[in-house]
Amino acid sequence: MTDANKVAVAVNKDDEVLQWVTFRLDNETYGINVMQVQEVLRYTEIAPVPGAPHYVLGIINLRGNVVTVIDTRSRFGLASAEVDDSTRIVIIEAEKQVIGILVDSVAEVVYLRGSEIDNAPNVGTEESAKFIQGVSNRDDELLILVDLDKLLSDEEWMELSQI
Amino acid sequence: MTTSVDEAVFDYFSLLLTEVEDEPSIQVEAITADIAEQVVPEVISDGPSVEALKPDASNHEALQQESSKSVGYGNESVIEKPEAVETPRLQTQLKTQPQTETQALTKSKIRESDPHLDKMALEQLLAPVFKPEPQIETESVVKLKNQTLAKPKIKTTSAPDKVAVKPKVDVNLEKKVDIEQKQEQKAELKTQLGEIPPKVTKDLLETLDDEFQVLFFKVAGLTLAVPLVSLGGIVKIERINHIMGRPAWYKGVQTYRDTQLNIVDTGAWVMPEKYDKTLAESVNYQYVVLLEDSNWGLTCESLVNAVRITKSEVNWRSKAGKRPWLAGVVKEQMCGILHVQALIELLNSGLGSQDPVG
Repeated sequence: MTDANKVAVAVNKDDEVLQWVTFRLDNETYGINVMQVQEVLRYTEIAPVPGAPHYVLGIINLRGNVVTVIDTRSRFGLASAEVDDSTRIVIIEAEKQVIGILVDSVAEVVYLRGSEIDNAPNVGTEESAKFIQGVSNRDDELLILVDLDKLLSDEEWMELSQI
Repeated sequence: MTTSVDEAVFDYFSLLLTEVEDEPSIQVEAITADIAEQVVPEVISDGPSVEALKPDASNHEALQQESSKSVGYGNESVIEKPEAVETPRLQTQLKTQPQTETQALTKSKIRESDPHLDKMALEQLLAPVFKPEPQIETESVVKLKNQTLAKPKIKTTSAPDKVAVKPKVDVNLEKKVDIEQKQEQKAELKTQLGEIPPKVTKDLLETLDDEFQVLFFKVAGLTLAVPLVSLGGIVKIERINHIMGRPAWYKGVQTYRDTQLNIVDTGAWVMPEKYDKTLAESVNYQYVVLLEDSNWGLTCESLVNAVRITKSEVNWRSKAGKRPWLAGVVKEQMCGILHVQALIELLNSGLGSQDPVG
């Protein structure tokens, strides 16, 4: 079944079809809601901000606008990695703020029905456990769906807006 | 035709009474208020209808006119007439507006200030005309007195009542808020850790036959046994997806037959105190031992064998204790035998082997 067919099949609102932009991070595939993605940039120099929170890599100049870039690896509790050709900065909008997230690579846009999304295992007690919206098994690969709004806490979003 | 003095007075009152019905009662009110203000001004000032009771100049003039009018009715007892006029009017006023004590007090004051008035005679005379009048009068006086006396009482009691009630309400609200917060905390705990495990797990011995099979498997040099009745299957480790924000013993998710298996790092779960980085790196997990029909699987390095043993070959633990997941020790192999049901409950609760239960 093609992606277009998948959209056509999903007439039921409860089984709504959503598009997810997938990216790779430490050999795992993550998905974020396409509606929150503004654009995907090649890696560009990120200017560090003195005194910025630990989860902030720095800022970039995006056509005259200053955009804060988040250290996604650090946020996800993963070890840092070297930047390579496939590294991307995904510009997203969450909590009424435009930020960038640094990822290993951007893969594709996938269509997922609501029924195809499973709940994430409920054993997490850490902060990062909160921003997993669900998981989906797609082509024998697990796609971890991220809730970008919960990527940072309310205080952190506030802190970010003041950088 | 001769008439007695009493008859004359009676006729006179009859006339007056018919006149009173037609006349507006404001004049009487004015008189009453005027006098009352002099007698008990503080009561009037406290009253709600002060404006209504206050006399104005026109009313006062009307009163004077009224007095002269009553004189003009022509009778022998000229001096008594004005006083006599006031009495029935006051009674009427009380009948129509029995709201304030002032009026009642005024009436009594007027009566006291009329030494020449023959009360007995008047009452006798008035009896046929106003039979219910004296009753109403006394009733109204009592009523008014009660009302006016009761009013401050209500005021004084109501104020502290309010004060007393307020904190009660606040306490209840606080309690309610506390309960709600506790419920929220409980709910949070439940969502984070899953279901709270039972303190005493179901006895494994009841579910096992006298002779039963167990599978032995090895993890970082440690041998563990699982009854075959509790074994959900064995799956080869392929690709385990790491999920962030999970405990150290949670290895990740592996897809198996369109379902996601929650893979437990057995070494990290069973012996976290010994499972350091060096040991973790040395371990080479090969298989996943599935627990009953749950989504939980224990990683293992190797599968030893499946052996038929009897219940007597196991040193069963009599109490669940701190490690409800450990059913006992197989004597010959000197290894722990798992209580799978309890283990599943602990894992569902997000608890490690050494986390406090219950």
